Amino acid sequence: MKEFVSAQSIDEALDTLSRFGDDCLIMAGGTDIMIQQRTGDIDPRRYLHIERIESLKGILVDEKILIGSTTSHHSIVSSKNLQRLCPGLVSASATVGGWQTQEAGTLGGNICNASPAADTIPSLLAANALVHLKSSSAERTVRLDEFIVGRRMTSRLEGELLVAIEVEALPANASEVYIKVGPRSAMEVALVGLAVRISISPLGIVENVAIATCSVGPKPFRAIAAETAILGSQLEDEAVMNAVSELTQEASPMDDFRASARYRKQVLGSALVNALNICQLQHKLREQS
Amino acid sequence: MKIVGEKYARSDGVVKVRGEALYTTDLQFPGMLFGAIFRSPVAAGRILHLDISAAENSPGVHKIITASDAPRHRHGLVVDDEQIFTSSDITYAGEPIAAIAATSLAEALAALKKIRIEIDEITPIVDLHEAIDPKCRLIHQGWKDFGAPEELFRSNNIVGQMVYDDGDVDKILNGSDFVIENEFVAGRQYQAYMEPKGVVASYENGRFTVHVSHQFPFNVRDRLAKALGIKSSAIRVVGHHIGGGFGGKLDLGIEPFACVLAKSTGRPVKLIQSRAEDMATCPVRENAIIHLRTGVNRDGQIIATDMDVIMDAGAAAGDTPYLSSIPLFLAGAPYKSGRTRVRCRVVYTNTPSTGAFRGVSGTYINFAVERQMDEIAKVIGMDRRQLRLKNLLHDGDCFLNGQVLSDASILDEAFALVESRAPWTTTGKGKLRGVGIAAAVWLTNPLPGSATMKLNEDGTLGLITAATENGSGAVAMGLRQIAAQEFGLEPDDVLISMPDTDVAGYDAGSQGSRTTHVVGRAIQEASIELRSKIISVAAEVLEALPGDIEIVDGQVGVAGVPASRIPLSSIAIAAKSMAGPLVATGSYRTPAPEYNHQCATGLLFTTFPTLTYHVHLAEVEVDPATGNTTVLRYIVAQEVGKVVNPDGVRGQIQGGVAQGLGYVLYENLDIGTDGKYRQKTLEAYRLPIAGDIPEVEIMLLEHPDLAGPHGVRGVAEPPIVPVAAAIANAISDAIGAPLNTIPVRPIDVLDGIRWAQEVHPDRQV
Repeated sequence: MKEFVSAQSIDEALDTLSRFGDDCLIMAGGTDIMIQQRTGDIDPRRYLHIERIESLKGILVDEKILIGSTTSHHSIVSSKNLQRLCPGLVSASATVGGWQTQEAGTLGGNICNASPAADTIPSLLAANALVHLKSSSAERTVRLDEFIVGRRMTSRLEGELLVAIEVEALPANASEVYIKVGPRSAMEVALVGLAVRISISPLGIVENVAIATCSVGPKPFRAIAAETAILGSQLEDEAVMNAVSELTQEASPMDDFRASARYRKQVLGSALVNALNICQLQHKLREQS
Repeated sequence: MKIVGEKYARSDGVVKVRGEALYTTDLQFPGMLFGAIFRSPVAAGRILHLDISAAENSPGVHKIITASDAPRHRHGLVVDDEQIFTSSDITYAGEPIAAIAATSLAEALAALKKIRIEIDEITPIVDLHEAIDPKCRLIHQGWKDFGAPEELFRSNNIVGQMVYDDGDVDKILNGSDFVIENEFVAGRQYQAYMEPKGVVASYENGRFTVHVSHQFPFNVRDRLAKALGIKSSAIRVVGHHIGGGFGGKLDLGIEPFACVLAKSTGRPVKLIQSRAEDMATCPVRENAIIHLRTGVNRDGQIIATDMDVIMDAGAAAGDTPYLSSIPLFLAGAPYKSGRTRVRCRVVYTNTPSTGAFRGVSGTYINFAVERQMDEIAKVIGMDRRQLRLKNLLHDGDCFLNGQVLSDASILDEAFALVESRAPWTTTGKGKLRGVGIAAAVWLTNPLPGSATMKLNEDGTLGLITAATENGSGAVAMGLRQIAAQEFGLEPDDVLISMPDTDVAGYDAGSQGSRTTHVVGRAIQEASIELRSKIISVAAEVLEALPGDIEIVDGQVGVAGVPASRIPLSSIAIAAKSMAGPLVATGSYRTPAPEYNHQCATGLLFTTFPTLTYHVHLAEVEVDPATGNTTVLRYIVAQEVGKVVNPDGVRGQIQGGVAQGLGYVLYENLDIGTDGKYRQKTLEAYRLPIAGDIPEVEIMLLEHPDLAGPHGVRGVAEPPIVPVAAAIANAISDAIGAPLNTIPVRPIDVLDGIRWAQEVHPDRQV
C-alpha cells in the first residue's frame, strides 16, 4: 500500500522529506503525476502532499516578486499584480491544459515536473526566475535555468522542497508575450512554446531581450544566440532573420506522434517573428499613449 | 395533438446528465469476477512458448483460459478469419492469447503481468501496396480454408474485390479534352465513444446471459453463437445504456472471452476494456488509397472516370468486404461520371482490424471525388460550383448499379439553399481565407426491425423493441414521439424497453440512420393492429359500431360525441375481461430498390435505399505561422424527409460535422512500422474540442419519403460524409495548393503554402 502524507506546515514537510528523501514523491497539484501513476510510469511508495501548507501559497509583491510554489495557475492568471508585472507568465499560465488543470495544477509542480513542454517555464526563464529551495538543514536559491537540467530532471537535492519562485518584474518600457502552438484551441500540449521579453528604447533600439522556449528540446531553454542577434538592433528584418536562424539552430525538437521535428523548427521561427511583431506593436502603442 | 415535429426532451436525458443511467461498467452481480485479456505484444510472428503458471498462482486468480480452453474454429462476420485465441500465428498487435478471471480487476491485471510468452517475431506487413502484391508473405497462411460467401473474390492477402467496368474507359479517357489524375490517401479514425467496450456474461442452465452496451444486440447473439459453436437460442443478450458507438460497437467484440470465462468459472464475469486497450483494438475507420482519373470535355462535362481503391482491412476482414461496394455508389454520385470503371480491393495487413464507422468508407471516397472536382475546375479553368452544377445528378438518373434516383433533383435545391445563405462569389474572400463546397448522396440502412406495442392498464403505452438508443435520440426522441403520435399520447406516456434478445423481435441495430425510419414504420404497422383491437373493445364498451369509434388525445369515444369519450385506461382494463390484453406487433424492412444484378462483380452491398441529399459549404482561414486552420463558417443543407424532433436533427448534424472536422483536421491514427498505432491514448489522439467547432448553420429540406413514417428519411449518419471534402477544398482554396490527404496536417498546409509560392510567386499569401 502507498503512504499518503499530507503536511500541514513547511517544517512537517521538510521533516518528512529528511526522513524519506527520494522515497517520497512531492505532490503539488498532481495533474501530471496522477496520470503517470495510472499509466505505471511512476510507482512511488509514498506521496508527500503539500497543498495544505498555507505559507507555500500566494503572490508577494515587494521589491521582488515571490510566488509560492503551490500557487495555482488559476491564481496566477487572476492576479492583478502579475497581470501588470509579469503578463507573459499570466498568459502562459492561462494556456496550461484546461480550466480544471489550471485550478488544480501549481507553478511549483509545473517546474519540478520539468516537462520539456512545461508552459510556464519559458516565461519564467525570460523573467530571470530564481527558485528558492529549503531543506531541514539549509536554504538556497538557484537560477531556474540551472535548476532544470534535462527532460523531467532538476537539480533539486534529496530532502529539498521548492518553496517559492522569484521573478523580475517587467520593466516599464518592456513588452512580453507567450506564444503556444498546437492544433486545438485549448486543452493542448505545446508543440512549440516561445516566450519573449523585450525592452525597446524610445529610439526603437532593443536594449534588453530574453527569448525562451519549450517543446523544442529535452528541456526549456534561453536562446542566448538569438537574443544576441537582435540586441542593439531596431528589429530590422535582417536582425530578426538572424535571430530566427540562431533559434532554430539551437533547437533540437523531436519527431513524435504529435508533430515532426521539421514542423516544430519551422513553426518556432514563425513564432519568434510573431512574438517580436506583437512586442513591437505593444511598444508603439505605449509610445503613442 | 401534434407530437411529431415538435421539441420534446429525450427520455434518457435526465438520468444521463445526473449520472444515474446504468452502463455495462456499472453492473454488479453476486460472486462476479473481473476479467482481463492477455494480448500479443507484437504484430507478427509465431508463439514459441506460453507460460501461465506464475499467473495462475497469482492472488485472486480463479481461471486462466487459452486456446485449448475455447472453441478453436474460425468465425467472422463475412469471412471466417477470426479465432477466439491464437495458439500459434500472430497477425496483429493486440491479438488475444489468454484471458484471466480474478476476484478483482487489480488482481486480474497483476496476474496479466505474470504471463510469460516467447514469440518468434517477424516483420509485420503494414504497407498496402506491399500487402497487395501477390508475392507478399501471406497474412493468413490458411486463407483458402476460411469460410466466405461465394461471390466474394479472395486471393492471397486480398479479402474482397468489387469490379465495375462500362468498357472502353481508357479509350474515352484518352479521347477527352482533359485527363485529371490524382491519388488521395486517407488515414484511420477512431470512433472515440465515451464508454470503452465492456461486457458482463454469466452461464446458467446451459444458457449464456450477456449484458452489453452495444449498438446491435442481435448481432452479438448471432456472432457469439457462431464463435462459440452453439445455437443462438442458447444466448440471451441484454442491452443497457450505450456510451456511444459510431459503428465501433456493431460487430462482436470482447463478448466471447467473458462467456468462456463465465462458463469455466461458473461465475458472472465482467470484462471492461481500458481506453488504451479499446483504442488499440477497436475496428476503426479503415485507411485507404484512392487513385482517380477523370476525363473531362472543355465545356466541363465529365465523360470518363477510372477509380481504383485499396482499403486496409487489418488482420481480420470484419465488415470491410461489404464496404468495398461503397465506391461503386460514390464514384457515380452526386456527379455523373461518364464511362466508368471502379475497382476496390480490400487487403489484409498485420494491423488491428478496421470496420464500420459513421459514413462507412463514404468519408474518403467523397473526399476523393469532391477534391477531384476542384482540381478539374482548376485545370479546365471553370468555376468550381458551376462544374458541379453541370454534372449533378437529376431525377431519373441512375447510380452505376442501375438503381434509379427518382428525386435527385433535390440536390439542385440544396445547392440553391446554401447559395442563399452564403453566396459563392463573395464567400471565403480575403488573405488566406478560402471556401469549399461538397455534396453527397447517402442511404438509409434498410435492415429489418420490429416493435411490439401494448396498451397498459393505466392508459400508457408499452413499446418493446430491440432498437438501441446509441445516443442519437432515434429511440429516446424519434420512436417515442412516433408511437405517442399514433394514439395522441404525451411522449412521457410511452415506455420503451431496453433491448433484450429474449424479449423483443429481431432488430438490426443502430446503424445507417435506420432506427427512426425502419422501426418507426414497424411502430406504425403495430399501431394499426393495436388500434383495431382498441376499437373493437371500445365498440362493445360504448355500445357503438366499430366504424364510429375514434381515438383522440389518449381517449376513446364515439365520433362526433365528445361526451362519450373515456380514457384509454378503461379500455385496457375492460379488455382483460373481454378479448384479453391489448398487444400488437409490427415488423418492417425497406424493400430493396431495383438494380442491375450483373453490373459488377463482388458487389455485396447492392443498393442505396431511402436516399438523403447533402450540400456542405465551409469557409476557413489558415494561419501561415502554424498551418492551423480556423473554420469560420460551416453550412449544411440536408434532406431529412421529415423532422421528428428539431433538437434531435440539429444535434446529429452538428455532431456529424464535429466528427468530420476531427477526421480532417485533428485526429491522427498513425501506424508505425511495428504495426501498432503511434497514438495510444486520447491524450495523444487529438479529438476536437468545443472551441474548435463553429456553430453549424443548418438548413433542412423536407421532401417526404413515401415509405417512411411521416415521410422520415435517415438523418444521423451522413452529416459526416462531405465534411473532409468541404474543409480540404476550402483550405486548398485558401492556400492555392492541393491537399489530397486525410487528415490535413498543419505541416501539409505549410508545405502547400510554400509550394504555391514557388509555383505562383506573384500570388499574395
